[in-house]
Amino acid sequence: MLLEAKNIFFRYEKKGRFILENISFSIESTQRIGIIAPSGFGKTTLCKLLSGYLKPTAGSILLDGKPLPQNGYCPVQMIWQHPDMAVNPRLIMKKTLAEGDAISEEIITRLGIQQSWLYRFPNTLSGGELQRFCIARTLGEKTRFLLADEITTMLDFVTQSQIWHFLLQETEKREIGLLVVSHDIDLLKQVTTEQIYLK
Amino acid sequence: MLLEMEHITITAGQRNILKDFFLTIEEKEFVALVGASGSGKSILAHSIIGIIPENVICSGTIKYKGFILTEEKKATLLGNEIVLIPQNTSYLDPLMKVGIQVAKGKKDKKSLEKVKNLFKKYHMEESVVYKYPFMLSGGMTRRVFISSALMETPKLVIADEPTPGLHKKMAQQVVSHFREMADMGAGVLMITHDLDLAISTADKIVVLYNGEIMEVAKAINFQSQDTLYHYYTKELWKSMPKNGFYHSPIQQTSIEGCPFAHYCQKAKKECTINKIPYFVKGESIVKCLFIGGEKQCY
Repeated sequence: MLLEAKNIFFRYEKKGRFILENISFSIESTQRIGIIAPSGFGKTTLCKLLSGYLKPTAGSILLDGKPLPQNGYCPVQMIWQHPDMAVNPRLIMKKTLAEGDAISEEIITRLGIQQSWLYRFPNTLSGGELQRFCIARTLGEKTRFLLADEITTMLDFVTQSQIWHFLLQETEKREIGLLVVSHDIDLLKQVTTEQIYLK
Repeated sequence: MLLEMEHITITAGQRNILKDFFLTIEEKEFVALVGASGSGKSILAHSIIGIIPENVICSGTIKYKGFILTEEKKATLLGNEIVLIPQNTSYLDPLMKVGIQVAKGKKDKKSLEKVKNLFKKYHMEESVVYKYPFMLSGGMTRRVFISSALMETPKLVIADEPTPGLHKKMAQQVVSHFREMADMGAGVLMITHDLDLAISTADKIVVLYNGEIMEVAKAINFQSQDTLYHYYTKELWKSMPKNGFYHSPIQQTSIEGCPFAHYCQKAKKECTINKIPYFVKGESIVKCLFIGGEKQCY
């Protein structure tokens, strides 16, 4: 599968500043691409556009030549920078996981999620524990692309390495394309095959 | 000794957040406290200042300049000699202009002049004085916190996770300000999960895991894994992307004794049963039975 961004422009307000101007690129579901850009460039905005949370002001986002599906499961899934803000604080984790699409038991065990965590609320789990749930939630059967927006900046190196090794294995096995946004160039060199510098 | 903490145990309900914690900071010393998220780092900073939630109980002794830090003492020292640089914008009053907050509510010319000078030092325009917190970027908020810490001459600076979300250059810049404060004579305690940053700027690094100190070592020891002694510290070092991005098998377990007894090759039966004491090896303090140093009664 191929995910393409074609000449996208984006601004939040009608006559505001363009956050993104004329951005084009494409990624195959066999590729792992890293994106490096300065703070405030609009990296998170770009991820939101690619996964269909926002619509570009101009230009188009195409999945195998067709626009992203308007309803049903979106094959492009995004993992957010702050897991505590990406889960509903009033749902226990089991229900949060169920928001995804048929997550296999195997993924849950391999991510190191303990059964007792499933019945806890998000405010009783640490950032690293929550992020594991958020990752599991995006790995439904129909996922073809994963967008990882600074997903391990709040984690220590041991946890960071564990989470990435899992993601690399899983995406390779299932041919899921991976787009990784990070400030950490050393990390990107380890987890992606090519890096794009945006200025 | 500027700050001495001994036998600090922090409990919330049934759960021990911090167990038998100890720490010393001298003048001109920059100490980094490194640990996984949820290992109890922030609450430690808050316990020194005394802003922990009501259901959290903190026991142990905290001494400042040789005297026990009592509530009355705190009242005079906090904000003057001891300052906290908090984690995020939510610690600013959203309805008050930042310049006035930094000047602690004073609006006279002299205070404002001082604020402006500090802002200038940290490359912020004068107009920032009259802005509200929501108008600042993450990096600017950090610099506002640093300025407010420097309104007086602090002796002890506690910085709680000052860098997440900042790109490398910016993070380095923020930390260099702390280094400067330490060189000016203050003791600095920086709480972070970014070992890389800690290695490049701190003097001493305290490694925390699951509420317990695993190892205290000089930052220079982190140049290679041969000068690190504890299993977890080594794992942490090897997991850094630039040191090989090692995939460690550690999972959180709740056993008596050493949490790494199942992984460590040196582990024997006593590792899983007994409480592990601290040993001193060279200038490091390590919670491991097999490093062959002198036993320490912490």
